[in-house]
Amino acid sequence: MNDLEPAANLERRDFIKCCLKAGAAAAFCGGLTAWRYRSDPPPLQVASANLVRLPDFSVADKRALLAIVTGAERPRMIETALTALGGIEAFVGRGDRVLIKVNAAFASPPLLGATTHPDLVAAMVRQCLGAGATTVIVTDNPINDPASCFALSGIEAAARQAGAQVRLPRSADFAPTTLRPGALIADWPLLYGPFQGVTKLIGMAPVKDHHRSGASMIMKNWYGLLGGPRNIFHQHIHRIIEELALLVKPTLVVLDGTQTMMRNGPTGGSLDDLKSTRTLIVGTDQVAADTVGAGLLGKTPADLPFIGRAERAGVGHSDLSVVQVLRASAD
Amino acid sequence: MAEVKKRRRAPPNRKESAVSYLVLVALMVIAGGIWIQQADFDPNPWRPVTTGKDPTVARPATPDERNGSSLEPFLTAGLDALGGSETFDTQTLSDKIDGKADLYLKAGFKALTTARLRFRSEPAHWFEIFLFDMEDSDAAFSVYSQQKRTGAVALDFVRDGYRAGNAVFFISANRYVEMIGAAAAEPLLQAMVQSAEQFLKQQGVSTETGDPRRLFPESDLIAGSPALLAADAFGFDRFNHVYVAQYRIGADELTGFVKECGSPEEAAELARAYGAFLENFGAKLVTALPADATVHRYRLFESHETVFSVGRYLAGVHEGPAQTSTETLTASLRNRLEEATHE
Repeated sequence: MNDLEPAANLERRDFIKCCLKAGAAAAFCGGLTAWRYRSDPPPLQVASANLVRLPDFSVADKRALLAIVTGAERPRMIETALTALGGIEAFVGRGDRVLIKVNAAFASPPLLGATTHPDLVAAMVRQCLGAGATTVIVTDNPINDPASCFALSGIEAAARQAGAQVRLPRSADFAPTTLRPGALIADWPLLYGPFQGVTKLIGMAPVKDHHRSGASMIMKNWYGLLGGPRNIFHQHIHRIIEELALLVKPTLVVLDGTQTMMRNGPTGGSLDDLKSTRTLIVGTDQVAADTVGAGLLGKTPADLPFIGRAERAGVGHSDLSVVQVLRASAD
Repeated sequence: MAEVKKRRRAPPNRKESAVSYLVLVALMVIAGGIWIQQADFDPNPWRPVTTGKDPTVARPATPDERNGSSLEPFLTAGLDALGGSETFDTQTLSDKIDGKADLYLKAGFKALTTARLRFRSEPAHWFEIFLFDMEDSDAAFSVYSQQKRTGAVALDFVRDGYRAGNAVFFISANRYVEMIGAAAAEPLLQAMVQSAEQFLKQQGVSTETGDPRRLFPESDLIAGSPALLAADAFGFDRFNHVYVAQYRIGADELTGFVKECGSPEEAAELARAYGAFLENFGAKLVTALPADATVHRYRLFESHETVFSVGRYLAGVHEGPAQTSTETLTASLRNRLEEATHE
């Protein structure tokens, strides 16, 4: 009972003092937290130090360009699109070493539309070699077994026949990279080996529904450059796509909406998941390309938060009125 | 001591009460923040436990599971295995199907076994088998129904199965099976159908549970549309294990839904919570009948919503385009559920 007496003898004045002290302590801690809290990370910058970094592969006077071509035959469509953009020579020159980042994520046949179509890969390889490129490398880091993915998707055979090298990822190809501060990509393994000596980068992806992000198109396709247990980023899928779009500055992007996977993506599995949308989007603005792709899926940029995030980060434009859009038919 | 006791019994003054309330409000704000933040959880590996086993503990498939998932029954005459089989667990499922893993993990995934088979005479004609071991037949039906392709042709040897242009999909007990062809060729599709039939003959079709889809009235029901949403139906995080079905009434298409709860009280409480959820998103309560016959009607922008409970069933209509068809389906659902409670 004696133990209780000091507390029991507590005066009202003492109680209020205690409360004020506790309140001051709470206010101090809260204020400190509020002062240090950052709702939006500061602008992201590529790290220096000993981490690897991808060069800027974009062509300075060719930004915010987009060609939208309708048709059914992919080789003709890409030729028409490149002509509209001033020819492949505007992007790839004599002596260039070109890397084509395809979507070879799954060991599935081309007819399912889950991977970059081999006809499109072959056509782009020929275009680059025709423009004088010394080497064209086709690569991806699939989540399935790489050898099966490249073989069964038809990409390996098509690329080799067209004259490209196919580079399957090896453990020695990965090196850590960082976007900082506040980035998800921090000291994270990047598929860097195939980029050695590369002077131009082309991203090629199909338009697909995606169960987690809502869509898988150009910006989501850079996910395949990450190594490690990258599925942990699914929790922050829109943010990781934004960061990837900041990390990679391509020369050209090719978004294939000849057939669009409307549902059950990203793997699909049935021809019933596909819709003939007869559109190929080629350009230099990743955000604009994905905006057009979203339309093929029956969505708007507002439905796909990563588009708005990438635009706000300065990657490109979802407002097509500020992009030079060239339309053509390949029928 | 008497003075001490008297002092301790004294009620708090207004300042003390105010400080106490401030502290409580601060705690509630913190709790609310935690609640909101945790709502965006990663189901891999923090999937809700729905069986006695703890699925949050990542583990490779056991030898028993692998044996149980043997793909040998799929090998019909003229087919060869193209490479070995692969097995994936909760931790590695996304290595095979990437972003679609969420769908399976939320429904109750145990293991995936895959293998490719091909024609001996036509090597370009191959197909891949995806054999998903789910926790139970409901979990299998959930992933099957949520991915069901429209315009598919039903298989005549299994209750839940169909063939599409290049693929075959079906359920066998707690297994969901996909057979994906590399070409849209009729001989290949026929081989897949025969392979599926042989597998089902050896494995047996589930008869362990009744069909909860019986709770939907048949009139105006779009055939093959019933589906089971494993989690977060209509964006409401308390709507787990909700059956939905599509109806066409006149020119209107609308969705009916049914959820079986543990008790009538739970069903009624969940109906009220769903109504509050709708109102949070801008829905206007149109009418509410007395509490013992609750059919709550809401107008959410241009669509009509209803929710009610009958016994331990919660049900309603989602995204009705017109009031008349919404009322028709609501009445029809209610009648069916009242019958079901007396069966």
